[in-house]
Amino acid sequence: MKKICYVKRGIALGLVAATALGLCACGGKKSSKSGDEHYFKAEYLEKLPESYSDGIYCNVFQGDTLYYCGSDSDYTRSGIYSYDLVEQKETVYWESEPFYDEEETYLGGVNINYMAVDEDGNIFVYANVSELDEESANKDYSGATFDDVIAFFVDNWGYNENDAVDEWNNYWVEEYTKEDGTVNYAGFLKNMGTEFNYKNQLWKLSKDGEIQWQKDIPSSDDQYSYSCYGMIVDKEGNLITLDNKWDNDGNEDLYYLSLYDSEGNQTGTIDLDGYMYGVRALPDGSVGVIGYGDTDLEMHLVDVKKAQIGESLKIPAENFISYDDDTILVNNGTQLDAYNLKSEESQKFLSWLSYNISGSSVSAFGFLSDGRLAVVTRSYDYNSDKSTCGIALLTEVDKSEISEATELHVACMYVDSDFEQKVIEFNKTHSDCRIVIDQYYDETAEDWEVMLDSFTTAVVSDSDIDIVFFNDYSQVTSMAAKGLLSDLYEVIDNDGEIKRSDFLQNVLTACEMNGKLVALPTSFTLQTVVARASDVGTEPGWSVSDAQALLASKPEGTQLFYGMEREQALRNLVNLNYSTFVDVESGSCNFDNEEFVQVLEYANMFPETFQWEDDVDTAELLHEGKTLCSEYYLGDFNDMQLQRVVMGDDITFIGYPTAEGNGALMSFNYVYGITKNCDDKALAWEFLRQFYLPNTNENNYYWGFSVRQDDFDKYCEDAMKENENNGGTYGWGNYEVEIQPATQEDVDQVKALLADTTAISGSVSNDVFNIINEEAQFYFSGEQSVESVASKVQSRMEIYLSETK
Amino acid sequence: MKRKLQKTKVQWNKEKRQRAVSGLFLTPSIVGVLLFFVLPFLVVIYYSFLNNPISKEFVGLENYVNVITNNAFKTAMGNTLLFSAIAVPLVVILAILLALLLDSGIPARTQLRSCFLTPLMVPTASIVLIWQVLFDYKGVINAIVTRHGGDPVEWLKSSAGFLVIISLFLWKNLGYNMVLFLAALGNVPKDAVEVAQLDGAGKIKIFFIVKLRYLSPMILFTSILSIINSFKIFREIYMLTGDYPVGALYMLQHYMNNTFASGDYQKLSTAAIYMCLIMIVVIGIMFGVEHHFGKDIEEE
Repeated sequence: MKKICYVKRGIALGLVAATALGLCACGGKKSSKSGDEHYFKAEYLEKLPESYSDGIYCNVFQGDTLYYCGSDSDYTRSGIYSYDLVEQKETVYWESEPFYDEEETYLGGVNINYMAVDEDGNIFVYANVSELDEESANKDYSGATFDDVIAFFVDNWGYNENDAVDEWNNYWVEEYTKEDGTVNYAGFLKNMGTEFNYKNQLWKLSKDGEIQWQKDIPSSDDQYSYSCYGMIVDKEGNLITLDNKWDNDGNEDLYYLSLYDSEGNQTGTIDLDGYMYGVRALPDGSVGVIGYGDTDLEMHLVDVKKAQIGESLKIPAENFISYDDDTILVNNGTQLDAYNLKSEESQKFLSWLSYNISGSSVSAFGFLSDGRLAVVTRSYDYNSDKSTCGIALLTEVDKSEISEATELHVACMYVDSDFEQKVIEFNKTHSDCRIVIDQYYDETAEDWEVMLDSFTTAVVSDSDIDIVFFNDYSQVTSMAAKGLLSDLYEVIDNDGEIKRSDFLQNVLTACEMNGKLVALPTSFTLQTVVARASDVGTEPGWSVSDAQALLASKPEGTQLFYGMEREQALRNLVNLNYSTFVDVESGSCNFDNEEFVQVLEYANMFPETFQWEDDVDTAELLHEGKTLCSEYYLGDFNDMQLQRVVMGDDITFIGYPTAEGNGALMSFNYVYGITKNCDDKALAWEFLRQFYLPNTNENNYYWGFSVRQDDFDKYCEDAMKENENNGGTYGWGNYEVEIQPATQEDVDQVKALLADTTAISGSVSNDVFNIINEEAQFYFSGEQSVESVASKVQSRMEIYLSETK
Repeated sequence: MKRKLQKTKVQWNKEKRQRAVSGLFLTPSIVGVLLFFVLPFLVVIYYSFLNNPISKEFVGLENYVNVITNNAFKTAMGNTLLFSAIAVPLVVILAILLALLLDSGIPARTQLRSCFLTPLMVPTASIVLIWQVLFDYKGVINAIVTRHGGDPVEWLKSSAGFLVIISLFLWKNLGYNMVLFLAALGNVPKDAVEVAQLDGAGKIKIFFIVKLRYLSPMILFTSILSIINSFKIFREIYMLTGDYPVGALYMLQHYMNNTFASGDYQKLSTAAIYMCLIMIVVIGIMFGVEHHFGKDIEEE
């Protein structure tokens, strides 16, 4: 009896121990070198070699040295260089002859396409060489005139004389006009008439820069074209290039690997299946070619001796370097992940932005012998039209050595490089605080809705979030209704430079809730509908019955819109009329009315699924009056001119049919808000205000109108002056227009439309739209009357609104 | 004397050791209950006094006032209570009647019992699918109605939906309750029934005077079980009609589910506390009733 008791107790104790051990396992710390996020101190090299100009490419790390090709922006100097990152010493291996002579005539030369470096420092190069055809180059063009240039276009490009003159004036004259005002017609004809012979070559340069051999390899001809997509040297010193050969008639497109020994003798080729991205090395020294398998990106290992493809490994992205035995470091654009090739699992290694590096600017990275991670960056600023290159050296430290700074968290789905650049600028100038981006978009995840849900849940429940970069305006409405957003008027009023009056007042009004400015966009477009003035009159705004009457007055087969589907039509009108149906502040709604019935009737004018046809010229349909209206996103003045040509008449921004107003919606870009929980709202605004400062840059790079009154006014003024866009052409189908400065009438038309627009596109949440759309289907299918549907929508919406109150 | 004292000390040590061992075995359960039930419940109470999960400002009873005056909550609470008030007595009474029927020795008793238990084996998604086929606007029921000259009914988009979910609830829960009552009827002392028969009591009188008294603990148990199940009807309604059904089908768990989805944790917590209080009161009343009527049975 006693024995049985002991057995029972033993079993029970064993179970308890197993449970406890199971719990212990949860908190286990991985001992792997690549296990957790790593922490670094960043050093940015200030003094870079002259050759490290704004045009570096083909970056290869070997030991402590970065090998690269560099060129000045004007191609006066280009070549192959290296930079020892420990000694900070530059080496020039080879430099090209100038590509242009003093007369700006192109002379041909060598373009380095790819580069690889072996362990001994020998450099292998894939070069594209263009050699001048002496006979054509020696042709004498002196004394050439304008007529000769026009004759060239007519004879060689098949233009008529008028088009030839336009071509010359629009695209070439500026380039060939000298400082003294004379035009270099001879230079143009020489450049156009001079022929070149192109060939591809492989070179080997010793570590002293001597060219050891140069070998011609297959080059493009009349039948085939060749291109290289990457090259690498394996640990035995064999050279492998990834080549592409395609038939100029488009019948054949083959990717293949070419295998060479260290002396450039070809030892074999391996034909590949499908598109390939490049060649890379793994930690064990084996090399492989990267391409898509059935579903995932894979690295197909290369057996150089047997000249065949071996095992395939799943990899998350093509841009990686080796780390430890089984691990590679993969750049996913925002962070570096440690990816274990065996377990196929990724863990965050570092976030680029933590070290003031824009992930999109990282062009190469590699470890130095002292363990530092060297990062080569190259970024392009659209506003200043300049490239900037830099090198950061990251030294790994213990987490405790990282100086503590106040963190401001920005929640967003994703950010662009401009936003990242502003974060970097802010972080660099604020040593005691930093912006941290919490990005919810994951390129490896498949379901956008799941990511969006995570983002939405985080912004309404995560108390660490200080700034929200909204994905759509319904999130603003939802958060503001819960009282989770700060009043931006408070921070604007405390700003010495930016004032409320600096902004377009109807934008501010649209973004207000209970008198508080809950969010602010940086720019916007006007979403409206454009139609012929002769059809709809000159004043914006019409009702559903007006639209129905117009359609009824036209011949059978005429469409109101081409391609409009029922759900889209319903969504547009629900967005536009939402404030008519719903009083968000009181939480009441009124769908049992004639306006809602009209909305349903309007949506029912369109098919559930539009039958798209091939080869339909939508511009032609509008021109011929077979389609009466076109949805229009108004963000500049140039497209208006094209619309007039397509419509063949004056146009009116008639808008979507609505009982009141002009039928237009504001579609906001880059909407930001500060959460109520943000501890330092002034600091959050200090970061955000960068987006709302006056635009001082002529090369303004964003689509739409600025929310700043002065920028908007200046944009309108500039649009009425001769500018760089003038003379350019906009085309739609067979219609083309040469852009002219906007007229005062154009500007007045847009300003008047803007002044009367308060509805915001995307402000209705999916929950609301789904309720309406679900019930509307019963009306569309003819199963129920419009009144019955309206009544059910009313019932369900009452609950929804009561719930959110 | 000394020996007796030593023995007592040994016994005391044994008891102490036994308690320690019992405590050791109970610790995982106690920790589990504290960690997964008590602590979350305390967190729920904490959230019910905050303005929102981000600012976390203490607002006293504001949430309780807001929620109790909120139209959506009132509708949800009203519908849930109404549903429970109708469905729970109905399922208990029908289950007793069915149990009595099967207990009376009718033919095919075993087959019928199995038949009533089959809904328990059908997954919820399948049940919902069957009900959709039956009660859709273009479903079987409306086809029958229209064939006989009637107008189709919006079963799932009108107050008629209440009948649909009650029928679904009964269909799903009747069999299980019936089996429980069958077991309870089997435990009614035969001598008590025979004495009543000798005294000239009829079947109805025997049921009310004898059997019902012995069934009262089971009635309490099945009622509590049915109340809990009646709150779970949300799952079927949600699958039939989504987040926002028509007013008549909007239950308390819709309110809680939707406030959770929208991150209104303070509303969700407050509604959960209200629901908990109501459950405590209802179950408390039921215990009181059972204690009152079943006292003499327990005394026996």
